[in-house]
Amino acid sequence: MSARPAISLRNVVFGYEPERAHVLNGLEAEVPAGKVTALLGPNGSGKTTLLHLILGLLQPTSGEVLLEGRPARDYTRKELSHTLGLVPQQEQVVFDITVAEYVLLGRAPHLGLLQLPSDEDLTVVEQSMAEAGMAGFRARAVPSLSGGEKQLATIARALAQRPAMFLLDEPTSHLDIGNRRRVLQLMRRLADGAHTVVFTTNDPNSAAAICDEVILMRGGRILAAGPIADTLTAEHLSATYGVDVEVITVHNRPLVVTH
Amino acid sequence: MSTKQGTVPGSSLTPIRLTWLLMALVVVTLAISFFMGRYPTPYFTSPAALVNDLMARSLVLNLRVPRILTAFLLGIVLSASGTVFQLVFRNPLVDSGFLGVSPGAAFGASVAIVLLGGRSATIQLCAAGFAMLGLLGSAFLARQVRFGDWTLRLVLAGIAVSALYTSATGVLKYVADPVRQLPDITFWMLGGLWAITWRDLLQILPVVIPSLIVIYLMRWRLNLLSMRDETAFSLGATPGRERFVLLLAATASAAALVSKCGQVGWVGLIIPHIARRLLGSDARHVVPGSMLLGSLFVLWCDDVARTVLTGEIPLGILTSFVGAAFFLTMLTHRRVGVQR
Repeated sequence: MSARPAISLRNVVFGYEPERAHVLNGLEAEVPAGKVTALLGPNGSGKTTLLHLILGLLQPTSGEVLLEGRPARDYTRKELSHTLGLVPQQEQVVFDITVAEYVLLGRAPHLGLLQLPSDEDLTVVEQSMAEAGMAGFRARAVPSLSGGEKQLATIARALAQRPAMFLLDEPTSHLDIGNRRRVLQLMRRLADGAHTVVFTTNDPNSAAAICDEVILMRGGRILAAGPIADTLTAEHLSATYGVDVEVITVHNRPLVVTH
Repeated sequence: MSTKQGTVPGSSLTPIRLTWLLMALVVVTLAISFFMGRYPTPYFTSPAALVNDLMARSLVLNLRVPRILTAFLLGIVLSASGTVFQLVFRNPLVDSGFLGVSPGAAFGASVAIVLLGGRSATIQLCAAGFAMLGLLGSAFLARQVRFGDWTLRLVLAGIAVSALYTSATGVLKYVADPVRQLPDITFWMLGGLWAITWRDLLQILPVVIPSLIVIYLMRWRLNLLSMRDETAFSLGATPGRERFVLLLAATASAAALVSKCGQVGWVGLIIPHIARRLLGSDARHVVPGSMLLGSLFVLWCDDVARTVLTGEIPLGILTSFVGAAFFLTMLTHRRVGVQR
């Protein structure tokens, strides 16, 4: 494991309104570089909010987020967009842009405000679509894609951004098992290619399938964090979800079953 | 290359070639328009008359040419700002009349006509001023709203500001002198280019040219700004600020022209749809395509408005009628090129 964590949370507290209760309370965790880390927890546990804090879209009320050892708030907008690629939970594309035009948006961080994409950018787009298995869809309109195809197109767009880290918000929700497997394998490949991958999920088995590390969240707090073998245990999961679960091993990976 | 860029749906033309074709069509239309009118002969002015008839030449140069150039600009500006509004608000059913701009201009013109004597310079100044105030008021109100994302807040604020303006205009119409003032208000609201002079044209250029340059140069960026905040932010944009700059350019240029031409409806709404149908939905092609199609549409409508009858047809009536008819056809025959 590399010495410096990709993302460190230092006593992160966050509330949307000063007078209301905090959404996140004193989060303390480290995300190792080059691994797949799942933010696992029930709906409303603060996973997406935490992702937005890491992204810099929200600023912590107190505490600090470090990216590669440097405070995130010291990053410029450009540096942030070169470091972090986001795959949001539900992308809404209203107009009929094609998959290729959509993936090309991922090149925006590498272009000036008024600059148009070059042939080099188009090459990166082709590579990114191929990596995500979307090369055959380049001329299709994004709004006409199925849920799984849309998710893969959005991942291709994040790939075109060529960031060091990928943040994916519920990438496997609403997907059938075929597309779910495709998305999970793609995330695994990214980490094997030395990228840091962080994704939120409320499904323990999505985490169990590919993760190296798990951060278990409930009610805006971290219940457990660390390598999957230590965190994805029956005891922790029962505490997180409030139901009895059993963790069995199938093909050397954990599998979570409820009774 | 054509596979990467995408071709025009239903044809082998690339968007870039089609844009050149439209540009050629605009040049031809401009050239023909200079020879169309009611004087000295109905419908068509022969080039010989322009050489021999001093009166005809002077009328064409001093009235017809600035009018045609203003129609050309009006089409470009309304369509470009319509495109900007639709992309920024991620809503295919809005145009620059949104956010209290058109109701603001109407209110300003009514104030000038009813309370300030109704000189044309006063009307223009008030229309432009209150139109801009509409945008700034909407933006200010949007900051006070405590829920929803930036676009939703701005939409709500725009609706409120428009409603205030419309009711205030109603009060002015109610108290207006029905013989002298009310017809002026009505006529201004119908829209038209009959009063345009070189001076009018030159007055709006300092606002219109920079605005159009900003919109044109940021055309690819508009794709990014039509995404949700989360996505635009993660791709390095400052969505709020960049959208505001574009909306300011779109509103300022539209307000400048509306102050001179009155309300010319439906151009900003319908033209971006036609542009998307012809050129695909990439804003890089839609923005210039809209500008060219818009100028064609307004030039054709104005040619009809000033040529067909001895009395002039108000331009706004023609654009609204043709625009709405076209919209209905598009809605019933094929999808509009957007999905929710």
